[in-house]
Amino acid sequence: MDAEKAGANVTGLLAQLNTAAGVLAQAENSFRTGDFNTAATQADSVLPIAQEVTNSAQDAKQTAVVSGQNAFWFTIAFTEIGASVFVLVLFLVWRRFKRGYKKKLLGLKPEVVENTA
Amino acid sequence: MKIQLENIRIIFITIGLIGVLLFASPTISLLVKLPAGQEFSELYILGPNHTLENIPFNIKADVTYSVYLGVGNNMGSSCYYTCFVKMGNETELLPNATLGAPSPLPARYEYKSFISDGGTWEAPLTFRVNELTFTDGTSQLSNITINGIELSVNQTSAWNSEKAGYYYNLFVELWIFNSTLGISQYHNRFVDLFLNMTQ
Repeated sequence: MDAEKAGANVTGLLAQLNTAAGVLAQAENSFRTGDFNTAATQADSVLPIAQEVTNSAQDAKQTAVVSGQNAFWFTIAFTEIGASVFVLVLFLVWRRFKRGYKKKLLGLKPEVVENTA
Repeated sequence: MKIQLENIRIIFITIGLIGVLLFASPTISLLVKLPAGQEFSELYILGPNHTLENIPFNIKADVTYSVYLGVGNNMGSSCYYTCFVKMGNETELLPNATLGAPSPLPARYEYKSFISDGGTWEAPLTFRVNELTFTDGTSQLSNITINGIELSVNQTSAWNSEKAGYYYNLFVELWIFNSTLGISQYHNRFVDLFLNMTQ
C-alpha cells in the first residue's frame, strides 16, 4: 500500500501477493475441513512469498519516492521557466506591436472632409 | 485609436494570464488534490457462461453446479479482499445491510485476492449436494462439496408451502482488509444463491 501510494508500479507485487493469497485461502479451507497438516504446510509456504514481496515493496517504494521527488521538481521547473519565457516573449511581441502601431499612427495624414452641417 | 490600443493591451494581458495558468497547471495538479470519486466494490455472481443465464435454482443431489464469482475494485487503491462462502436455510440470518453486519453463520469456504484499483477478479464456484434427505416435510442437507472440498453442513429446511419448496441460501460475503486496523472487515456486500432442493 505504501509503495503504491508513493507511486510505484505494483502490478508484479500484486501478482505475487495473489499467489500467496490463493495458497493462504487454501490453507484456511484445509483447516476448516480438519486437515491441519496440509493447512500448516500451505500456510508455511506463503511466508517466503510474503517476505519477498515485503522486500520488493520496500525497494519499489524507495525508487518511487526518489522518482516522485524528481518529477515534482521537474514540474516546478517546467512551470517557472515555461511561464517566465512565455510572459517575456509575449511582452516583446506586445512592445514590437505597440511600436509598429504608433509608427503607423504617426504616418497617417489628416483627411479633410466636407462639413455638411 | 487610443481606446483600440488599450483593448489590444487587455487582450495581450488575458493571453498572458491564460498562458501562465496553462504552464502552472501541472504544478497546480500536484499541489491541489481533487476530492476522490465515490469508492466502492462490486460483488457479483454469473452463470456458467459468464452471463446471468442458467444460474442454479432447482438443485438435485449428486449434480455439480457451477457459477462464477466476481469482485470489482473501485476503492481508489489496491485492496485485499476475502470472500466467505456461507450456507444456511431460508430462516437463518443473512448479512444485515442496514447494520453492515455479516451473517453469524460459519464460513464454509473462502477466497482471497488482491485487486488493483479499477481491476476485477473472477473465480469459479462449483458446488454439489452430496447427502440430501427428505422426511416429514423437512429436508436435511448433510454434506456438500464446494470447489472440490467436501464439507459437513447438517442443515435442515422445512417445506415452504407458499413457495412450494425446500429452500436454502448459498451466499458469499465480501470482506476487505483495513490496513489502518490490520484486520479484515465485512464490506457490506453479499450475493445470494437462493436454492430449492428437489428430489
